[in-house]
Amino acid sequence: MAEATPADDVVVQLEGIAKRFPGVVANRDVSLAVRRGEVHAVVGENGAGKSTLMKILYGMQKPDEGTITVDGREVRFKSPSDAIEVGIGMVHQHFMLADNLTVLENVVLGAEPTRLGFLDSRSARARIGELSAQYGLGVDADAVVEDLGIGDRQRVEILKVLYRGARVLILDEPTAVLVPQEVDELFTSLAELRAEGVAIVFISHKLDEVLRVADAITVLRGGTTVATVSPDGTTARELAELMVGSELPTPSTDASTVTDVVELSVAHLTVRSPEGRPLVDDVSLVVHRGEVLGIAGVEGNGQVELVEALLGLRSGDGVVRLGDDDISTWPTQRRREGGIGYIPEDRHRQGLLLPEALWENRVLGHQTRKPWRRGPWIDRKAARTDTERIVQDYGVRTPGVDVPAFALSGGNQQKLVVGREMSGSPRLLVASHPTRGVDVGAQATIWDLLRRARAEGLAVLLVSADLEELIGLSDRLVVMLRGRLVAEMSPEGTTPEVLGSAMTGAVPARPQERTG
Amino acid sequence: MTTTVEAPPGGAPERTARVGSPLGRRVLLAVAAPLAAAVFALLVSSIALLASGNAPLEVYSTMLSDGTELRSVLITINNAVPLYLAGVAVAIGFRMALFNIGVEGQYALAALLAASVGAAVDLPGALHIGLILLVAMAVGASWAGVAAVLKVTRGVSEVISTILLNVIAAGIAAYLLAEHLQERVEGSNNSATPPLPESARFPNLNGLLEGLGIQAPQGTDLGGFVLVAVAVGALYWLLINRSLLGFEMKAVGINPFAARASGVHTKRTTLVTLLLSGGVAGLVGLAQVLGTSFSYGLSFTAGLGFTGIGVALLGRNSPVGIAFAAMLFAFLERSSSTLQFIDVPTEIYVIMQGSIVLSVVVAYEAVRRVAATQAERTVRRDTEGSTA
Amino acid sequence: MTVASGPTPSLADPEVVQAPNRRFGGWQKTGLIALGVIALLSLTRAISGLDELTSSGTSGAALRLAVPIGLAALGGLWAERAGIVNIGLEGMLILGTWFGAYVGFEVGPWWGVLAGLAAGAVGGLLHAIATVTFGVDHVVSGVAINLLGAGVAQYLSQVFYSDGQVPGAGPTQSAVVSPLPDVSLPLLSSGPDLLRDLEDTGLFLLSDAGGILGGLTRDVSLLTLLAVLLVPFSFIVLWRTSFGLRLRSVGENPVAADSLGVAVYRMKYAAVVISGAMAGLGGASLVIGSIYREGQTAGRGFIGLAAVIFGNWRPGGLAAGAGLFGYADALQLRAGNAVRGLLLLVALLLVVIAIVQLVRRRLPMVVAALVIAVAFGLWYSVVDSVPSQLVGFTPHLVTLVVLAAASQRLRPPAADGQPYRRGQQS
Repeated sequence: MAEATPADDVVVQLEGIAKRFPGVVANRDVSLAVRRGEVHAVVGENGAGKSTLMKILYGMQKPDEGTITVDGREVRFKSPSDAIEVGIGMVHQHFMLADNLTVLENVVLGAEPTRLGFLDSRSARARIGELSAQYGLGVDADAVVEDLGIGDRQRVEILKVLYRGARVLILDEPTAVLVPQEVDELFTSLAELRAEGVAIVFISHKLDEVLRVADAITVLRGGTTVATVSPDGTTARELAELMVGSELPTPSTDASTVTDVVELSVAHLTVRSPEGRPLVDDVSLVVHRGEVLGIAGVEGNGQVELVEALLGLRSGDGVVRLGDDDISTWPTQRRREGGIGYIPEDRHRQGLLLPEALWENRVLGHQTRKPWRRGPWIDRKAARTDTERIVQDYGVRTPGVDVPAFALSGGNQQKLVVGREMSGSPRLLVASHPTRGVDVGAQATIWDLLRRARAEGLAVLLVSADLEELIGLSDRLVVMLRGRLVAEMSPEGTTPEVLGSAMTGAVPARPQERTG
Repeated sequence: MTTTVEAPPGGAPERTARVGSPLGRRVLLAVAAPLAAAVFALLVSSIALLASGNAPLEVYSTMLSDGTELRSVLITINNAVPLYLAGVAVAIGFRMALFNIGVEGQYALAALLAASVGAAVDLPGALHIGLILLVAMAVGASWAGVAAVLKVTRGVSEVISTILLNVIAAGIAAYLLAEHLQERVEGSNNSATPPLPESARFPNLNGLLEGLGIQAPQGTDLGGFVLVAVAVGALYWLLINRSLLGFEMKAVGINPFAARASGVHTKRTTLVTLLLSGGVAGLVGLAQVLGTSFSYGLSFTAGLGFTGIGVALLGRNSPVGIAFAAMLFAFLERSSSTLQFIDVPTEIYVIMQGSIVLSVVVAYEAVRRVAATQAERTVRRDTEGSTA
Repeated sequence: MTVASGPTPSLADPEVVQAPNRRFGGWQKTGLIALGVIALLSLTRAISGLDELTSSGTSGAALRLAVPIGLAALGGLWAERAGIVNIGLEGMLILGTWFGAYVGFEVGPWWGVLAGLAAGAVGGLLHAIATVTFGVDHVVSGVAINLLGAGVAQYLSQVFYSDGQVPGAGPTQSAVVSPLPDVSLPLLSSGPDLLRDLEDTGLFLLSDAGGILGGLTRDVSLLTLLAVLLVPFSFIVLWRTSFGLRLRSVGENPVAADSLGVAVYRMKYAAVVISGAMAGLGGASLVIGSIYREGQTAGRGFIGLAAVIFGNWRPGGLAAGAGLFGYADALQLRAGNAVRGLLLLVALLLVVIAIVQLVRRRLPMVVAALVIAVAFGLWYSVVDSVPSQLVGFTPHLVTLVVLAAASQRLRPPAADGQPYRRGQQS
């Protein structure tokens, strides 16, 4: 554990924090002590309880149990304003900036210095200059935010909280959107802040960065604090094991149905953000008939962009082949007609028309196909009949097919989507978190259906954050980190250490192995 | 380690028994909205009447009794026809969350050019009328096409472009009429296109009425164009309920992300939708051209495009709903014309129309929010706890 | 948002990547442009011999005609800067005209101004309630308010004017409202009236300057002065006060503003009510010194919106737009045959643009500009007069062209037209 330091150096102390939501315990007996002038990292997988804990610290949620102590005094936050008042400031992962306004305007908004009702920009500019120099942030107060790069925008966000007197900064996944050079710049700024006695809480899942910059690391798993360590006394592998747990679910023992016919082949796919940053970075992979290729990785590492590129919803460089066809330039409709099924990550956003009836949602994505498409018309009867079949075969619980989609539970909505996408004999199924938000029974059903379809020759690309799902379904696993495929392994042979390290970058990225 | 939720104690609740009630509630809410709107509108008009020293009840009863006379009914139907067509034109756009505010300009140009072409040729009856209809639809579609192309290629909002195009259309129409297309009549102030020959005049439906045992009063006909309106309504119904294009339009209007993910070509669909909308808009003026005035002139009815927006909103974009809305608007206008005899300003009907539209959109929005909150609550119940 | 809502228009396609904005001001730049405009006009007059192009009568009329458009545009600006699209400006203008005329006659012209302002503000309040509290789509609510505004004016005219009690009034018009006093610049445009003398000299540039400046400063109604002053006033409030910053932030990123403690709903309400008040003032400006007449607003509410877009959502820009529209209007009203001079003006302007593009080495643009310049030049030489009906929509055509060509450079407030609900994640 960390060396003993005088207790009055602790600026924020969380003790015994618990928070429950209907159906889940988000935080349980969490303790955290942050010292002045310290960068304290909080690490953990998705669902470990990090964001809830931060919302409590920042005043957006109230804890059910436990205490928060700031500078030795116990505090209770009713809203973020209370937290700001005691000097705790949050820098969000998704910036809250008005692009058309200047840096100065963004920073002072809501706390403007005024003289006779007029904005006192002179004193504001002076103060910003002061802070900027003091903490080495180097931001031009009169620049329009829209013209700034991401690294600079992040510094504006930091300036926002410093301007309001923050002495404790919470940074939520700050490096998620930065390129390596910007990460270096950020860490330099953090060093300056630290030198001035500001305490920094650094939330991340990227262990290599955490080990670089943190003075203390607290690991969260399953909603509770598992350990608090110092970076000197631990290795990345140990950390990864702490995060991921010591046991992995057991893979299935069914006979392999993998053939050697390649259904999907991706070569050197690169997808860039509008600013030019590679979100998918030179990815190459193959999926065979009868095979499930699982893509593991913490969210936000390019999985969404990869999936969308395969569906034709995003443009990128590289070659995508379906069977013998080069589909790289095919529009979405053609790809779907060509036999690609898509189970989207967010079924409400990309998968369903919530106010519309079930039979119309069944047709969605397949509206140009028989048997319900007859020339320019849609044959309602055929659509309804087929929807009833899906309801039957996939166990969708609903009184009828005319019910609007929003009336169904999440699990039943997902079953409908899965049933829809697996009907019509697809050749390739791209499934993104297919059982997210689905109850256990429906989850088992969906897994069963996927296995059965695989046995009949379906090729599946499975993206998931659920390790049980990944290990249980995949024939092969690849890990995605920062847009690249960094490791490949078989579900039987892998260990939590290896998988966790790959997912969190605790080991340097290996050049990806040629697959297929 | 998993990210899935432990099932809440007692297992997931059986959902079938409870799905019925949200549905029933939805129906109730759908009816409640127009009802609430009607009540509000009556309230507003009553206040306006009281403020000017008139008795609301007396006014309403006068309107009702005069409006239901046969003569008034026929005139109401005739006036409702162009309103219906305008409403459908706007509704086609609304389906895809597009605003075609340009119906006004589209029908003016269409009526002018169709009347001119019609007066310049001589064909057997059905062909002649058919040609005029075709020209009108083509002109309307083309003018809407300008806004469509601007939107699809340059990202110009159709709201602003159609408003601007309205003024430009009015100017072009006025110019063409004054300089090239009008036929000057001695001693008349009104300049208009030459009158259509007999073969181009739409027959009236008085014969149909007589067949039903109703004698049309002297001087008032049931315009035959109502048949065209019915046909358009039927086609509109087919479009939105049975056609692939209608399905894709609806998908884009409800959830453009899901539509894209489903392979819908959004740009192409936008273009087609606006063209269709413009085509129907072109027909709006033809009821008058083919049925009463037989020409297009300076005194041609204007403002139908804007009223058509109100009609479409009130009718909730449904073919039958728009019909009711058009009839209601026409009824209000017609029945209030007799109010002058009891010294009440006839313009009360405009206040009624305006307040109905305003209250309807507010009511629908309030209802939609309630329904959406219910849906979200339902959904949240199932997905709660998978975030931490 | 999980459930997609109804129509949500945006005034410029957000998917189109947008170029950086240039800040307002640089007085040097404005002065240079003004000088350039006068020079161009002088040149046109010299070539065509059409004195009306730069006469004081024309510029005076242009100013008067620009006022209602400019006020409507300011109305549009205030609302959109807070993220609310106000299509209902026309209806608020109409309310301003009716109440301005009624109270203006019954009590007095300044009271009429106040009444028009208040009436427009009430219209704005209605729009705010519908869009901010109930989340009705902005365009839909605006259209409804236009209908309502027109209806109320018609109805009230019937009620108050149809019995002949008010002299000169009838069911579609009001009594004459006394005008407000005029002002002029001492020495320059009154008394010795030096600018008039300058204008009369007929010398290139000098005479034009005298004409334009004289027209702009001679016998200017106090209401016109007020309207003109509201432009820098709006700039100062919106860009130099904390209230203005908060208002603009609400139109750019309401979620961020809320997170910093800005009262988003209250700001939107304030903005839309002010917007209505501006439009109401615009309506009053049409009737003070004249009468209310049914249909007199003639779509100026929409032209005002066009001016906002033309001016890139900036007070200076929209004033220029309103001035342009007013000028075209004035020319057409006073000297129809002088309108063809505008064709020549456009041709010369395009030549200037061609030269600028040449400096920037953008050859295709140079060619395009020159080709169109020649086309306009030919049109000018061939034609005796431009048909009045076509001139009437010149401003709209220009705005459409600007929209189509420059949609990437336009910078509407980022959250313009989007419904906002507290607590929802965008």
